Amino acid sequence: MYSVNCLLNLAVLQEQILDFEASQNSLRTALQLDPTNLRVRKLQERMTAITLALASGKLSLEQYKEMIESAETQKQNDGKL
Amino acid sequence: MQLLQLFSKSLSIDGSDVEANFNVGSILMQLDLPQLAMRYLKRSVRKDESSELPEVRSLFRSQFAKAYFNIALLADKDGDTQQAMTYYEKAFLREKSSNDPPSSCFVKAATNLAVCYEKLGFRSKSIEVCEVLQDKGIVVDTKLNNNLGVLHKREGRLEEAIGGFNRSLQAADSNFFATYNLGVTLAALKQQGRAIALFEAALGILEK
Repeated sequence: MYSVNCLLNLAVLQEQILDFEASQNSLRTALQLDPTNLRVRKLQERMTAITLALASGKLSLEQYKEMIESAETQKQNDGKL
Repeated sequence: MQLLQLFSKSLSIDGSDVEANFNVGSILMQLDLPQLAMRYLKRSVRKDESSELPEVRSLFRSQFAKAYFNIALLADKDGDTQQAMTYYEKAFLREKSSNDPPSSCFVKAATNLAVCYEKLGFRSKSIEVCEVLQDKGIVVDTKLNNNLGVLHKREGRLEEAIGGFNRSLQAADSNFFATYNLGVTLAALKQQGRAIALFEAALGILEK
């Protein structure tokens, strides 16, 4: 369980610094350790969608960064309320 | 087994013998007989609970503290946090006001007491106990500092939390929990690079 949590945190942080390959690797390892973990599966689906969108040009890196930042701002605003 | 027979013999002469009851209780604990162990350990502290015998309380102070600690451990193992808290508290208070150097039993009792307080919602008391240990010079204990870090983090005092986790790692750099918790705290402060290094280190500790 602890290993999976470490890998999940790693995947999220690696995504934040735009290291998508490392993030995917962390998620793959987490899934090998706990194949039924829903959080890992959801994160992996999301990562795959983002990677595909970036590769096809439907989403630019700038748009992606803005997306993360606005999600963070939203989270902070929610926190204040 | 021979020891158990020896102490049982002492108890047949004096059923209230503090040391014999404590030793029988401790041996039964090791033999994984918690209910029976609890009975003897509680007998061993009866004289402490009697306010008419202050000299006995003073003479057996450390023995009583150990017995209270063992009773608390048994209750803790059984999932009875309330009872565990009561007995950790008794063990803690036996040595809190003493000028002697803190025993390892005292440090463990205080650390576990702080965890019980936190579990039962008494956060300020939990921090207070950790700070008593710090005042007594127990600044290098890895569990204590990790716990202090967690408490500060839950209070939103991230810089103090980081201090606790770092001190914990100074005492034992292979402490998985302190490594992991420091990673979580730094991630919250948007220090992704350092947080990633810590989670990788935490995984390394688990793989050892």
